[in-house]
Amino acid sequence: MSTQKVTEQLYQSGDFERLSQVLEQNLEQCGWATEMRDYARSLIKADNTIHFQDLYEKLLKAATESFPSSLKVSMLQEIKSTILKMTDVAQHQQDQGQN
Amino acid sequence: MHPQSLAGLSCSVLEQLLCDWVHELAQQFHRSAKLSLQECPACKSRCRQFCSRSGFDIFANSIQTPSTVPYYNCEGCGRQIAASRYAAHLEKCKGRTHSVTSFTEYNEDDSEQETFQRHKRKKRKANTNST
Repeated sequence: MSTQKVTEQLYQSGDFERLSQVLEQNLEQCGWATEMRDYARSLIKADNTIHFQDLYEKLLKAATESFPSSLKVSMLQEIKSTILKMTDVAQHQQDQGQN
Repeated sequence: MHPQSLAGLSCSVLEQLLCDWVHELAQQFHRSAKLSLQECPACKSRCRQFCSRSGFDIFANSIQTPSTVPYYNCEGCGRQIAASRYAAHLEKCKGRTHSVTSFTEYNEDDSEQETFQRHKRKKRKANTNST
């Protein structure tokens, strides 16, 4: 099962939106989102005419390096269980179709 | 599903989620930065540009701290008084100001006051003698 296919199925089932909200909620709760906003503000302050692509790349690099490890573990667990549930449902539907 | 492929899938989904979140954050801040540089079509001023200098609020008004509060000369004693304490100082700055606050201060001539007091005592005595 390819990543693209899995992502498409997550979008269609609405699980991707739900996971996105869970991630945002957790990021706000642990304060990491505030730190990222402060960093973005400092980048803008340093150069008010910064290009969007440069800003995005700098923020993504900082986010990838500083992402909380505890949150990473919990999110991966959540995503795994969602994918397994999705594949179980798909398998069940396939079996029903065959019968 | 193979555990390794499931872990790999989960990681790529998390990466996608994080990229989306960062993209939204970058869009939000980039938009506000660009808007702050533009002139507002309604009021024809850069009303979205906020001041970020120290000692000033976002509207470029000076923040009053104990070290920045203005001082004024007291008209009575001539001392430098902080604006927040000026009213309280004026109340206590008695006898050195032109303003009159009590009847006792109004009669600055002591002989007149004494005459008045003597007159009051005489009147009281006369009343007690008559009863």
